Amino acid sequence: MSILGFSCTVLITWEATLILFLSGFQNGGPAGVIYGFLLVWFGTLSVFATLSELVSMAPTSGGQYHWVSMLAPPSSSKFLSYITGWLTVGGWQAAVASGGFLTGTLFQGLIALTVPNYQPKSWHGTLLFWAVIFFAVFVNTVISNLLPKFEGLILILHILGFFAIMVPLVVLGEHGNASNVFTLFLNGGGWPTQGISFFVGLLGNVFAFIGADGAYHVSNCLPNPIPWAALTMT
Amino acid sequence: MILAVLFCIGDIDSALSTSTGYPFMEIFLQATNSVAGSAAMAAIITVLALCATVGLLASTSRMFWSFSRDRGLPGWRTLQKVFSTTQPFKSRSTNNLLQVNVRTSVPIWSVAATTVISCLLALINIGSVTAFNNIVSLAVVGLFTSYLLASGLLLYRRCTNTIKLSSESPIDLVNAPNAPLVWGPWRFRGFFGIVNNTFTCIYLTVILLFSLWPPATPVDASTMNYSSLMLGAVLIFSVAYYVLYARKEFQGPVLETQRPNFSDST
Repeated sequence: MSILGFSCTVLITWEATLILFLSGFQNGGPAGVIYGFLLVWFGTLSVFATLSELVSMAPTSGGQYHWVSMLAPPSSSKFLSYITGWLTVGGWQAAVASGGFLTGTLFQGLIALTVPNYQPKSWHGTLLFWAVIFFAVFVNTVISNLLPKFEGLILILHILGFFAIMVPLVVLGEHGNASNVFTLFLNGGGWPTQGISFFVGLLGNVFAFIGADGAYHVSNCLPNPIPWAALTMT
Repeated sequence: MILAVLFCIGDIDSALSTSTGYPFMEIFLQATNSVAGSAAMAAIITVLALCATVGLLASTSRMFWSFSRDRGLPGWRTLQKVFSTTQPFKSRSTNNLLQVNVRTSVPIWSVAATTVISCLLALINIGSVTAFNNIVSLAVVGLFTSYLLASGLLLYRRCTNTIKLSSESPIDLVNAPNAPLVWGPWRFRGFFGIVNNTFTCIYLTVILLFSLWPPATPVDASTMNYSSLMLGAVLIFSVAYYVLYARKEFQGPVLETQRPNFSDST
Protein backbone atom coordinates (compact mmCIF):
# COMPACT_ATOMS: atom_id res chain seq x y z
CA MET A 1 0.00 0.00 0.00
CA SER A 2 2.61 2.53 0.98
CA ILE A 3 4.80 1.52 -1.94
CA LEU A 4 1.88 2.03 -4.28
CA GLY A 5 1.34 5.39 -2.64
CA PHE A 6 5.01 6.11 -2.99
CA SER A 7 5.08 5.34 -6.71
CA CYS A 8 1.92 7.34 -7.30
CA THR A 9 3.15 10.37 -5.48
CA VAL A 10 6.57 10.35 -7.06
CA LEU A 11 5.08 10.03 -10.51
CA ILE A 12 2.02 12.27 -9.85
CA THR A 13 1.02 11.67 -13.42
CA TRP A 14 -2.18 13.58 -13.85
CA GLU A 15 -1.00 16.50 -11.81
CA ALA A 16 2.24 16.75 -13.70
CA THR A 17 0.56 16.65 -17.09
CA LEU A 18 -1.33 19.76 -15.99
CA ILE A 19 1.73 21.45 -14.55
CA LEU A 20 3.81 20.77 -17.64
CA PHE A 21 0.95 21.32 -20.01
CA LEU A 22 2.59 24.35 -21.62
CA SER A 23 5.41 22.61 -23.46
CA GLY A 24 3.11 20.07 -25.08
CA PHE A 25 0.55 22.69 -25.94
CA GLN A 26 3.01 24.93 -27.72
CA ASN A 27 4.54 22.07 -29.65
CA GLY A 28 1.78 19.75 -30.70
CA GLY A 29 -1.39 21.52 -29.62
CA PRO A 30 -4.36 19.79 -27.95
CA ALA A 31 -4.27 16.78 -30.24
CA GLY A 32 -0.52 16.54 -29.80
CA VAL A 33 -0.91 16.50 -26.03
CA ILE A 34 -3.49 13.69 -26.17
CA TYR A 35 -1.68 11.41 -28.61
CA GLY A 36 1.63 12.29 -26.98
CA PHE A 37 0.22 11.23 -23.63
CA LEU A 38 -0.88 7.89 -25.08
CA LEU A 39 2.49 7.32 -26.75
CA VAL A 40 4.41 8.21 -23.61
CA TRP A 41 2.09 6.09 -21.47
CA PHE A 42 2.69 3.12 -23.72
CA GLY A 43 6.42 3.76 -23.91
CA THR A 44 6.73 4.14 -20.16
CA LEU A 45 4.82 0.91 -19.64
CA SER A 46 7.30 -0.85 -21.91
CA VAL A 47 10.28 0.68 -20.11
CA PHE A 48 8.71 -0.29 -16.81
CA ALA A 49 8.22 -3.85 -18.03
CA THR A 50 11.84 -4.14 -19.09
CA LEU A 51 13.10 -2.66 -15.83
CA SER A 52 10.81 -5.02 -13.95
CA GLU A 53 12.46 -7.97 -15.64
CA LEU A 54 15.76 -6.60 -14.37
CA VAL A 55 14.46 -5.94 -10.89
CA SER A 56 13.16 -9.46 -10.88
CA MET A 57 16.65 -10.76 -11.71
CA ALA A 58 18.47 -8.60 -9.20
CA PRO A 59 16.29 -6.70 -6.75
CA THR A 60 18.84 -4.17 -5.50
CA SER A 61 18.55 -0.62 -4.29
CA GLY A 62 21.32 0.37 -6.68
CA GLY A 63 19.14 -0.39 -9.67
CA GLN A 64 20.53 0.56 -13.06
CA TYR A 65 24.25 0.51 -12.26
CA HIS A 66 23.95 -2.90 -10.67
CA TRP A 67 22.13 -4.30 -13.68
CA VAL A 68 24.64 -2.75 -16.06
CA SER A 69 27.52 -4.25 -14.11
CA MET A 70 26.05 -7.74 -14.32
CA LEU A 71 24.96 -7.49 -17.97
CA ALA A 72 27.96 -5.74 -19.51
CA PRO A 73 30.90 -7.68 -20.90
CA PRO A 74 33.46 -8.26 -18.10
CA SER A 75 36.09 -5.99 -19.64
CA SER A 76 33.87 -2.90 -19.48
CA SER A 77 31.57 -3.91 -16.65
CA LYS A 78 33.14 -1.76 -13.95
CA PHE A 79 33.48 1.32 -16.10
CA LEU A 80 29.98 1.22 -17.60
CA SER A 81 28.49 0.53 -14.20
CA TYR A 82 30.28 3.52 -12.74
CA ILE A 83 29.08 5.86 -15.48
CA THR A 84 25.53 4.55 -15.14
CA GLY A 85 25.69 5.16 -11.40
CA TRP A 86 26.63 8.78 -11.98
CA LEU A 87 23.93 9.26 -14.58
CA THR A 88 21.32 7.86 -12.23
CA VAL A 89 22.49 9.93 -9.28
CA GLY A 90 22.69 13.03 -11.49
CA GLY A 91 19.28 12.39 -12.97
CA TRP A 92 17.66 11.91 -9.57
CA GLN A 93 19.39 14.94 -8.14
CA ALA A 94 18.06 16.96 -11.05
CA ALA A 95 14.61 15.47 -10.47
CA VAL A 96 14.60 16.65 -6.84
CA ALA A 97 15.68 20.09 -7.95
CA SER A 98 12.94 20.19 -10.58
CA GLY A 99 10.36 18.92 -8.11
CA GLY A 100 11.31 21.64 -5.66
CA PHE A 101 11.39 24.24 -8.39
CA LEU A 102 7.97 23.31 -9.80
CA THR A 103 6.40 23.19 -6.35
CA GLY A 104 7.98 26.49 -5.36
CA THR A 105 6.73 28.22 -8.48
CA LEU A 106 3.32 26.57 -8.05
CA PHE A 107 3.08 28.29 -4.69
CA GLN A 108 4.14 31.46 -6.44
CA GLY A 109 1.40 30.88 -9.02
CA LEU A 110 -1.14 30.41 -6.24
CA ILE A 111 -0.08 33.69 -4.71
CA ALA A 112 -0.33 35.42 -8.07
CA LEU A 113 -3.79 33.93 -8.51
CA THR A 114 -5.15 35.05 -5.17
CA VAL A 115 -3.28 38.30 -4.53
CA PRO A 116 -4.08 40.56 -7.47
CA ASN A 117 -1.21 43.05 -7.17
CA TYR A 118 1.57 40.55 -6.48
CA GLN A 119 4.68 41.02 -8.60
CA PRO A 120 6.45 37.67 -9.05
CA LYS A 121 10.25 37.76 -8.72
CA SER A 122 12.53 34.87 -9.42
CA TRP A 123 14.22 35.09 -6.01
CA HIS A 124 10.79 34.51 -4.42
CA GLY A 125 10.77 31.27 -6.37
CA THR A 126 14.16 30.33 -4.94
CA LEU A 127 13.06 31.03 -1.37
CA LEU A 128 9.88 29.00 -1.85
CA PHE A 129 12.00 26.25 -3.39
CA TRP A 130 14.12 26.17 -0.22
CA ALA A 131 11.00 26.02 1.93
CA VAL A 132 9.75 23.05 -0.12
CA ILE A 133 13.07 21.23 0.15
CA PHE A 134 13.24 21.79 3.90
CA PHE A 135 9.73 20.46 4.28
CA ALA A 136 10.82 17.36 2.33
CA VAL A 137 13.87 16.97 4.57
CA PHE A 138 11.71 17.34 7.66
CA VAL A 139 9.36 14.57 6.53
CA ASN A 140 12.28 12.37 5.50
CA THR A 141 14.26 12.72 8.72
CA VAL A 142 12.37 13.93 11.76
CA ILE A 143 9.13 12.12 11.09
CA SER A 144 10.54 9.40 8.84
CA ASN A 145 8.71 6.75 10.84
CA LEU A 146 5.48 8.18 9.56
CA LEU A 147 6.62 8.16 5.95
CA PRO A 148 4.67 5.03 4.93
CA LYS A 149 1.48 6.40 6.51
CA PHE A 150 2.15 9.72 4.87
CA GLU A 151 2.41 8.05 1.47
CA GLY A 152 -0.85 6.20 2.03
CA LEU A 153 -2.58 9.45 2.88
CA ILE A 154 -1.23 11.10 -0.23
CA LEU A 155 -2.46 8.22 -2.35
CA ILE A 156 -5.99 8.98 -1.15
CA LEU A 157 -5.55 12.68 -1.91
CA HIS A 158 -4.13 11.75 -5.31
CA ILE A 159 -7.28 9.82 -6.21
CA LEU A 160 -9.85 12.11 -4.57
CA GLY A 161 -8.12 15.21 -5.89
CA PHE A 162 -8.51 13.89 -9.41
CA PHE A 163 -12.28 14.00 -9.06
CA ALA A 164 -12.25 17.20 -7.05
CA ILE A 165 -10.72 18.91 -10.05
CA MET A 166 -12.32 16.93 -12.85
CA VAL A 167 -15.92 17.42 -11.69
CA PRO A 168 -15.94 21.24 -11.40
CA LEU A 169 -14.12 21.51 -14.71
CA VAL A 170 -16.58 19.32 -16.54
CA VAL A 171 -19.69 20.70 -14.88
CA LEU A 172 -18.86 24.40 -14.78
CA GLY A 173 -16.58 24.91 -17.72
CA GLU A 174 -17.60 25.79 -21.22
CA HIS A 175 -16.77 22.97 -23.51
CA GLY A 176 -14.85 23.28 -26.71
CA ASN A 177 -15.83 21.05 -29.58
CA ALA A 178 -14.41 17.60 -29.98
CA SER A 179 -13.07 18.00 -33.48
CA ASN A 180 -10.92 20.88 -32.31
CA VAL A 181 -9.55 19.00 -29.37
CA PHE A 182 -8.77 15.79 -31.17
CA THR A 183 -7.49 17.15 -34.45
CA LEU A 184 -5.93 20.53 -33.72
CA PHE A 185 -2.18 20.25 -33.93
CA LEU A 186 -0.16 23.35 -33.19
CA ASN A 187 3.38 24.16 -34.14
CA GLY A 188 4.16 26.98 -31.72
CA GLY A 189 7.90 26.43 -31.82
CA GLY A 190 8.09 27.30 -35.51
CA TRP A 191 9.53 23.95 -36.52
CA PRO A 192 9.77 23.01 -40.20
CA THR A 193 7.29 20.13 -39.86
CA GLN A 194 4.44 19.29 -37.51
CA GLY A 195 6.08 15.95 -36.76
CA ILE A 196 9.20 17.50 -35.26
CA SER A 197 7.06 19.87 -33.24
CA PHE A 198 5.06 16.92 -31.87
CA PHE A 199 8.16 15.08 -30.73
CA VAL A 200 9.73 18.18 -29.19
CA GLY A 201 6.49 18.77 -27.27
CA LEU A 202 6.54 15.22 -25.92
CA LEU A 203 9.03 16.25 -23.25
CA GLY A 204 6.36 17.61 -20.91
CA ASN A 205 4.52 14.30 -20.97
CA VAL A 206 7.77 12.40 -20.59
CA PHE A 207 8.69 14.39 -17.52
CA ALA A 208 5.27 13.65 -16.03
CA PHE A 209 6.16 9.97 -16.09
CA ILE A 210 9.67 10.30 -14.81
CA GLY A 211 10.80 8.56 -11.67
CA ALA A 212 9.49 5.15 -12.59
CA ASP A 213 12.55 3.53 -11.03
CA GLY A 214 12.06 5.33 -7.71
CA ALA A 215 10.20 2.48 -6.07
CA TYR A 216 13.02 0.10 -6.99
CA HIS A 217 15.56 2.16 -5.11
CA VAL A 218 13.49 2.54 -1.99
CA SER A 219 12.07 -0.92 -1.70
CA ASN A 220 13.84 -3.96 -2.96
CA CYS A 221 10.94 -6.28 -2.58
CA LEU A 222 8.30 -5.56 -5.14
CA PRO A 223 6.59 -8.91 -5.55
CA ASN A 224 4.87 -8.36 -8.84
CA PRO A 225 5.92 -5.12 -10.42
CA ILE A 226 3.83 -4.89 -13.55
CA PRO A 227 0.31 -4.57 -12.12
CA TRP A 228 1.68 -2.00 -9.70
CA ALA A 229 3.24 -0.12 -12.54
CA ALA A 230 0.06 -0.08 -14.56
CA LEU A 231 -1.90 1.14 -11.55
CA THR A 232 0.51 3.91 -10.77
CA MET A 233 0.42 5.31 -14.21
CA THR A 234 -3.30 5.79 -14.79
CA MET B 1 -7.95 14.67 -16.84
CA ILE B 2 -5.95 16.11 -19.67
CA LEU B 3 -9.04 15.72 -21.86
CA ALA B 4 -11.20 17.65 -19.42
CA VAL B 5 -8.70 20.47 -19.38
CA LEU B 6 -8.33 20.56 -23.13
CA PHE B 7 -12.09 20.74 -23.55
CA CYS B 8 -12.32 23.58 -21.08
CA ILE B 9 -9.69 25.85 -22.53
CA GLY B 10 -11.58 29.03 -23.18
CA ASP B 11 -9.28 31.77 -24.31
CA ILE B 12 -6.03 30.11 -25.27
CA ASP B 13 -3.99 33.27 -25.47
CA SER B 14 -4.87 34.48 -22.01
CA ALA B 15 -4.25 30.98 -20.66
CA LEU B 16 -0.77 30.93 -22.16
CA SER B 17 0.16 34.41 -20.97
CA THR B 18 -1.20 34.04 -17.44
CA SER B 19 0.51 35.92 -14.63
CA THR B 20 0.59 32.75 -12.51
CA GLY B 21 3.08 31.14 -14.87
CA TYR B 22 0.90 28.05 -15.10
CA PRO B 23 -1.77 27.97 -17.83
CA PHE B 24 -3.83 25.36 -16.00
CA MET B 25 -4.59 27.85 -13.21
CA GLU B 26 -5.97 30.28 -15.76
CA ILE B 27 -8.02 27.49 -17.33
CA PHE B 28 -9.47 26.63 -13.92
CA LEU B 29 -10.31 30.28 -13.43
CA GLN B 30 -12.06 30.54 -16.77
CA ALA B 31 -14.00 27.34 -16.15
CA THR B 32 -15.20 28.11 -12.64
CA ASN B 33 -15.28 31.92 -12.74
CA SER B 34 -14.23 31.93 -9.12
CA VAL B 35 -10.84 32.80 -7.71
CA ALA B 36 -11.50 30.89 -4.50
CA GLY B 37 -12.65 27.78 -6.34
CA SER B 38 -9.77 27.67 -8.76
CA ALA B 39 -7.31 28.45 -5.97
CA ALA B 40 -8.66 25.46 -4.05
CA MET B 41 -8.29 23.24 -7.11
CA ALA B 42 -4.79 24.52 -7.80
CA ALA B 43 -3.92 24.06 -4.13
CA ILE B 44 -4.68 20.33 -4.40
CA ILE B 45 -2.15 20.07 -7.20
CA THR B 46 0.37 22.16 -5.30
CA VAL B 47 0.07 20.00 -2.19
CA LEU B 48 0.50 16.84 -4.27
CA ALA B 49 3.53 18.34 -5.99
CA LEU B 50 4.93 19.15 -2.55
CA CYS B 51 4.45 15.54 -1.51
CA ALA B 52 6.03 14.32 -4.72
CA THR B 53 9.11 16.32 -3.79
CA VAL B 54 9.17 14.50 -0.46
CA GLY B 55 9.16 11.19 -2.34
CA LEU B 56 11.74 12.38 -4.85
CA LEU B 57 14.05 13.37 -2.04
CA ALA B 58 13.58 9.97 -0.41
CA SER B 59 14.44 8.17 -3.65
CA THR B 60 17.40 10.38 -4.41
CA SER B 61 18.91 10.04 -0.97
CA ARG B 62 18.61 6.23 -1.26
CA MET B 63 20.32 6.41 -4.63
CA PHE B 64 23.14 8.50 -3.11
CA TRP B 65 23.37 6.07 -0.25
CA SER B 66 23.45 3.01 -2.47
CA PHE B 67 26.09 4.38 -4.81
CA SER B 68 28.31 5.58 -1.97
CA ARG B 69 28.01 2.24 -0.20
CA ASP B 70 29.53 0.87 -3.39
CA ARG B 71 32.22 3.53 -3.13
CA GLY B 72 31.11 5.34 -6.24
CA LEU B 73 30.79 8.88 -4.94
CA PRO B 74 33.39 11.19 -3.46
CA GLY B 75 33.03 11.10 0.32
CA TRP B 76 31.41 7.68 0.30
CA ARG B 77 32.65 6.91 3.79
CA THR B 78 30.45 9.61 5.23
CA LEU B 79 27.57 9.39 2.78
CA GLN B 80 26.86 5.76 3.47
CA LYS B 81 26.23 6.31 7.19
CA VAL B 82 22.69 5.84 8.31
CA PHE B 83 20.92 7.23 11.29
CA SER B 84 18.59 4.77 12.85
CA THR B 85 15.92 5.19 15.43
CA THR B 86 15.79 1.55 16.46
CA GLN B 87 18.76 -0.57 15.45
CA PRO B 88 21.84 0.51 13.52
CA PHE B 89 21.57 -2.05 10.77
CA LYS B 90 19.10 -4.68 9.85
CA SER B 91 20.59 -7.82 8.48
CA ARG B 92 18.40 -9.98 6.41
CA SER B 93 17.94 -13.62 7.22
CA THR B 94 18.93 -14.60 3.71
CA ASN B 95 22.26 -12.82 3.73
CA ASN B 96 24.31 -10.98 6.26
CA LEU B 97 25.11 -7.95 4.22
CA LEU B 98 24.18 -4.57 5.52
CA GLN B 99 20.84 -3.31 4.43
CA VAL B 100 19.11 -0.11 5.32
CA ASN B 101 15.59 -0.58 6.47
CA VAL B 102 13.52 2.19 4.99
CA ARG B 103 11.10 2.29 7.87
CA THR B 104 13.64 2.67 10.61
CA SER B 105 16.87 4.09 9.26
CA VAL B 106 17.57 7.26 7.41
CA PRO B 107 20.76 7.75 5.36
CA ILE B 108 21.17 11.09 7.03
CA TRP B 109 24.29 12.28 5.22
CA SER B 110 22.88 11.36 1.85
CA VAL B 111 19.75 13.35 2.65
CA ALA B 112 21.96 16.26 3.68
CA ALA B 113 24.02 16.05 0.48
CA THR B 114 20.91 16.00 -1.71
CA THR B 115 19.47 18.95 0.18
CA VAL B 116 22.58 21.08 -0.04
CA ILE B 117 23.04 20.43 -3.75
CA SER B 118 19.36 21.18 -4.43
CA CYS B 119 19.50 24.43 -2.50
CA LEU B 120 22.62 25.52 -4.36
CA LEU B 121 20.96 24.64 -7.66
CA ALA B 122 17.98 26.79 -6.65
CA LEU B 123 20.29 29.80 -6.59
CA ILE B 124 20.75 29.46 -10.33
CA ASN B 125 17.08 30.32 -10.71
CA ILE B 126 17.75 33.84 -9.48
CA GLY B 127 20.21 34.43 -12.27
CA SER B 128 18.66 32.58 -15.16
CA VAL B 129 15.54 30.50 -15.54
CA THR B 130 16.96 29.01 -18.75
CA ALA B 131 20.00 27.66 -16.97
CA PHE B 132 17.73 26.16 -14.36
CA ASN B 133 15.42 24.58 -16.92
CA ASN B 134 18.42 22.73 -18.25
CA ILE B 135 18.91 21.11 -14.89
CA VAL B 136 15.28 20.04 -15.09
CA SER B 137 15.85 18.39 -18.44
CA LEU B 138 18.97 16.73 -17.07
CA ALA B 139 16.55 14.64 -14.99
CA VAL B 140 15.04 13.19 -18.16
CA VAL B 141 18.32 12.85 -20.00
CA GLY B 142 20.31 11.32 -17.14
CA LEU B 143 17.70 8.81 -16.10
CA PHE B 144 16.78 7.83 -19.64
CA THR B 145 20.42 7.27 -20.56
CA SER B 146 20.79 4.97 -17.56
CA TYR B 147 17.60 3.10 -18.53
CA LEU B 148 18.84 2.83 -22.08
CA LEU B 149 22.20 1.36 -21.03
CA ALA B 150 20.51 -1.23 -18.83
CA SER B 151 17.78 -2.16 -21.34
CA GLY B 152 20.18 -2.19 -24.26
CA LEU B 153 22.50 -4.59 -22.47
CA LEU B 154 19.54 -6.74 -21.47
CA LEU B 155 18.45 -6.90 -25.11
CA TYR B 156 21.97 -7.93 -26.09
CA ARG B 157 22.09 -10.67 -23.48
CA ARG B 158 18.58 -11.76 -24.36
CA CYS B 159 19.34 -12.09 -28.04
CA THR B 160 22.61 -13.90 -27.48
CA ASN B 161 20.78 -16.27 -25.15
CA THR B 162 23.18 -15.75 -22.26
CA ILE B 163 20.49 -15.63 -19.61
CA LYS B 164 19.56 -19.06 -18.36
CA LEU B 165 16.66 -20.37 -16.39
CA SER B 166 17.33 -20.65 -12.70
CA SER B 167 17.28 -24.46 -12.86
CA GLU B 168 19.93 -24.56 -15.59
CA SER B 169 22.60 -22.90 -13.54
CA PRO B 170 24.20 -25.03 -10.83
CA ILE B 171 26.37 -22.26 -9.40
CA ASP B 172 25.19 -20.39 -6.34
CA LEU B 173 26.42 -16.95 -7.21
CA VAL B 174 24.30 -15.53 -10.02
CA ASN B 175 23.42 -12.14 -11.49
CA ALA B 176 26.64 -10.47 -10.45
CA PRO B 177 29.63 -9.31 -12.52
CA ASN B 178 31.39 -12.31 -14.09
CA ALA B 179 28.72 -14.64 -12.75
CA PRO B 180 26.11 -16.53 -14.76
CA LEU B 181 22.89 -14.69 -15.47
CA VAL B 182 19.58 -16.27 -14.62
CA TRP B 183 16.06 -14.98 -15.11
CA GLY B 184 14.11 -13.79 -12.12
CA PRO B 185 10.61 -15.01 -11.32
CA TRP B 186 9.04 -12.40 -13.56
CA ARG B 187 9.74 -11.86 -17.24
CA PHE B 188 8.28 -11.79 -20.73
CA ARG B 189 9.03 -15.05 -22.48
CA GLY B 190 10.57 -15.62 -25.87
CA PHE B 191 9.64 -13.50 -28.83
CA PHE B 192 7.38 -11.07 -26.99
CA GLY B 193 10.20 -10.31 -24.60
CA ILE B 194 12.47 -9.33 -27.48
CA VAL B 195 9.73 -7.20 -29.05
CA ASN B 196 9.02 -5.39 -25.81
CA ASN B 197 12.69 -4.92 -25.04
CA THR B 198 13.35 -3.58 -28.54
CA PHE B 199 10.44 -1.18 -28.27
CA THR B 200 11.81 0.04 -24.93
CA CYS B 201 15.16 0.81 -26.52
CA ILE B 202 13.64 2.57 -29.52
CA TYR B 203 11.31 4.63 -27.35
CA LEU B 204 14.14 5.66 -25.02
CA THR B 205 16.37 6.61 -27.95
CA VAL B 206 13.68 8.72 -29.61
CA ILE B 207 12.81 10.54 -26.40
CA LEU B 208 16.46 11.08 -25.55
CA LEU B 209 17.10 12.53 -28.97
CA PHE B 210 14.20 14.96 -28.76
CA SER B 211 14.78 15.94 -25.16
CA LEU B 212 17.98 17.58 -26.32
CA TRP B 213 16.06 19.88 -28.67
CA PRO B 214 15.23 23.44 -27.67
CA PRO B 215 11.50 24.20 -27.26
CA ALA B 216 11.23 26.77 -30.04
CA THR B 217 12.96 28.15 -33.09
CA PRO B 218 14.80 30.36 -33.85
CA VAL B 219 17.27 29.52 -31.14
CA ASP B 220 19.65 31.91 -29.46
CA ALA B 221 21.89 31.61 -26.44
CA SER B 222 19.11 32.35 -23.96
CA THR B 223 16.53 29.90 -25.32
CA MET B 224 18.94 27.10 -26.15
CA ASN B 225 18.47 23.71 -24.53
CA TYR B 226 21.75 22.98 -22.82
CA SER B 227 20.92 19.50 -21.61
CA SER B 228 23.36 17.97 -24.10
CA LEU B 229 25.99 20.14 -22.43
CA MET B 230 24.81 19.05 -18.97
CA LEU B 231 24.83 15.41 -20.00
CA GLY B 232 28.29 15.83 -21.47
CA ALA B 233 29.49 17.53 -18.30
CA VAL B 234 28.25 14.69 -16.09
CA LEU B 235 29.79 12.13 -18.44
CA ILE B 236 33.15 13.90 -18.71
CA PHE B 237 33.32 14.49 -14.96
CA SER B 238 32.48 10.90 -14.11
CA VAL B 239 34.89 9.49 -16.68
CA ALA B 240 37.67 11.76 -15.45
CA TYR B 241 36.93 10.95 -11.84
CA TYR B 242 36.86 7.27 -12.69
CA VAL B 243 40.18 7.33 -14.50
CA LEU B 244 41.94 9.49 -11.92
CA TYR B 245 40.59 8.14 -8.69
CA ALA B 246 37.54 5.90 -8.58
CA ARG B 247 39.11 3.16 -10.71
CA LYS B 248 40.86 1.97 -7.56
CA GLU B 249 38.07 2.69 -5.11
CA PHE B 250 35.06 1.46 -7.01
CA GLN B 251 34.88 -2.31 -7.21
CA GLY B 252 31.45 -2.65 -8.74
CA PRO B 253 28.27 -3.01 -6.74
CA VAL B 254 28.34 -4.76 -3.39
CA LEU B 255 26.79 -8.16 -3.69
CA GLU B 256 23.28 -7.81 -2.48
CA THR B 257 21.68 -10.81 -4.07
CA GLN B 258 22.65 -14.33 -3.53
CA ARG B 259 20.88 -17.01 -5.43
CA PRO B 260 17.21 -16.19 -5.11
CA ASN B 261 15.06 -18.89 -3.73
CA PHE B 262 12.63 -19.44 -6.50
CA SER B 263 11.82 -22.14 -8.95
CA ASP B 264 11.20 -21.57 -12.61
CA SER B 265 7.56 -21.52 -13.34
CA THR B 266 7.95 -23.02 -16.79
